[in-house]
Amino acid sequence: MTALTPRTLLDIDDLYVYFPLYSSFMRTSRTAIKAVDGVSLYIRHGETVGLVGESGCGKTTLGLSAIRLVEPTAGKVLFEGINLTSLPRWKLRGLRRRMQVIFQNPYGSLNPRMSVLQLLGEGMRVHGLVGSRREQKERVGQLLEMVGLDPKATDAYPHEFSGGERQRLCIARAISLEPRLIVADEPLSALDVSVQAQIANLMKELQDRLKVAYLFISHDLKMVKFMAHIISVMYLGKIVEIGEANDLFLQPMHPYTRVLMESIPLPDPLAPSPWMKKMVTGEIPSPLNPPSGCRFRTRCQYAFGTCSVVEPVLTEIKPSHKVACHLVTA
Amino acid sequence: MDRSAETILEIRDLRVSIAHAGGTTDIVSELSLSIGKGEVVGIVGESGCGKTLTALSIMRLLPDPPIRVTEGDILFRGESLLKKKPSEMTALRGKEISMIFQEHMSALNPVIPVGNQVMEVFQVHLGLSAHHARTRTVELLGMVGIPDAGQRIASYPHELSGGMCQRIIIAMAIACRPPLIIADEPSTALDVTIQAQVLDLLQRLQEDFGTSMLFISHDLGIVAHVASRIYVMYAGQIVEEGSVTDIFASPLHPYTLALIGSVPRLEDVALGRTRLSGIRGKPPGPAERAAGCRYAPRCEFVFDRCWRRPPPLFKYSDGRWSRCYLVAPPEEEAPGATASPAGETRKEDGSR
Repeated sequence: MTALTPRTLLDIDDLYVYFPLYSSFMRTSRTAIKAVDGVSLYIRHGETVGLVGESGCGKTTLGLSAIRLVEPTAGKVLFEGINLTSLPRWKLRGLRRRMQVIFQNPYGSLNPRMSVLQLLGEGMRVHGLVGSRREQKERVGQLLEMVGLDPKATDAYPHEFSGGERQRLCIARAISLEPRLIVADEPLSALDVSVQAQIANLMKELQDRLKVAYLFISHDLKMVKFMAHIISVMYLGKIVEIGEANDLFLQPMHPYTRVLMESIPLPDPLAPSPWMKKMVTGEIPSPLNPPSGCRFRTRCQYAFGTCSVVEPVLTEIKPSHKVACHLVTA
Repeated sequence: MDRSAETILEIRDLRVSIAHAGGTTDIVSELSLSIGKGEVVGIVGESGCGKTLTALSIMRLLPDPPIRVTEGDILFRGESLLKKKPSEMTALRGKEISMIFQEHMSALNPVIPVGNQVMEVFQVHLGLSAHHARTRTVELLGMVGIPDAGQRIASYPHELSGGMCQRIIIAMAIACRPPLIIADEPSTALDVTIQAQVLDLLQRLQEDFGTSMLFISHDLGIVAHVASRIYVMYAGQIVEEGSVTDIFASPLHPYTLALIGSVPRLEDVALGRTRLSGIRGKPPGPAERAAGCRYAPRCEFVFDRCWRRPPPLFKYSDGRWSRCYLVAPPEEEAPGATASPAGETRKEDGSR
């Protein structure tokens, strides 16, 4: 995408992730689900990049393949200058402590049979960050304190915690290895509104303290706006717009970004309701065979002839704001 | 509040309890609510606050045992639903009151074509023949925006997208043009763009048919646009009631205020707001509620009195109620006012 600047932490370059569909008879692959279809993106140290899009647009796959939890089909990912895609697995393991994940469902991502001490201590033990058991317990206590939990709760089990507290545990586990990058895949969506706000605040505080970068994946545009410095909007495996959070919100250029923004019902009864505007019709097409040309054209109210023939490329319209739409670039 | 003549549903002092080995625990208590004809009333609250149980009590679908209504009454067009026989309730559900559930995947039977599931409503409630029911179903599916309804009736739920399934469920709910629809988080599981389409449909049908609706959601943004009057629930009680414009313009209960502050707004970053106000702690479970005001442990305006005894709903102005001592009228502030206030303000209202 761009020349590697010293501040670049993760550089995703033209990444593809296809999931082939085999026909049952010959095991030959005829078609593939193009979950991520040529995405370039970079994240700087201590920065949050937000990834928004509807379900099935490939945002989770992109997040996971960026740290090779899903094998990319093609493309390159540089993490602190190291090419992750060509790295042998044993070398990758050593790097794992520098990139961590927080998953959406805090109920499914904590082993119910492990105590807090085991859950938070395991990673540190594996990576040799703690020596003695006492040191481990001390460190786990500190982590609990950092995420706003009782530091003495080391012997508790996940079921003793509420959803928000469990998400705090997941965050504590992620930061236990002092990562540079955390991929947060919908970390707030399973939580109640008031708890969401607490966790969002916590993630921001930790970022200030630890200078960790986030790839923040969410379908909630308001939350992404609150969390992220850079926002990228995905539609059917491609990034359609990327820019600084404020720019993107003040001047959304891609019709899809505008649709997404206008679809959010604001907590203000005097504002026009999103569904009165009739912004978008139809549903998201299948990633098995995306529409020709521009992928959004089937739902776009501005679509014209060229859209069905030529695929728009992501073009810089001003520094650090790129859009893939014929209306903008033509 | 002079809607008594045209009130379609009235809940009076509802108490829902769960029986367990150690006795019973109240999950919902002192809940009074009314819905006028053609009115859309919203219930907002976080998970576990009792909003779905309230809906299920109206439908008499509580998982009994162990959860049942232990006090209060639910009047539908002046008749008590709680006194109806099971067979009468069966005849009523879907015809007079229907419900739209949140999980569209589990609300439809996966092994029956969607068309047959809609047809059933016509056959059971209106006694139509299969042939007529089919014609009506195709018509109805077209009305809720399902393309090629003639072919689609043979599809199974897994062949349809979430948005389409939710449209089918809406079709089932409106099939008999019931005077009251209870919509429990009808768009929560959907993407924002699809959510907008589904809410648009629901609102259009509601306006066309003049249906009354109880709309339950945790999303303040949605309720702000769908409902005309709102009840805010916290820990099994209604903590605030008012018109949608009043509640959003000047929330009276600290919980409502904090809930509104928990939602990031688009102008936040521009204004340099880097923290969300949020609410400390977590909602209490039914067994761990505070002795005084249930919100006291999380409230930023808490004072002595809040811990002593539970506040009743205080009337602030016409149609505006808040369960908070901060809006208590002056005479309530008098020291030594020991009469149990629970309900006194409400009962007054009920007798009007």
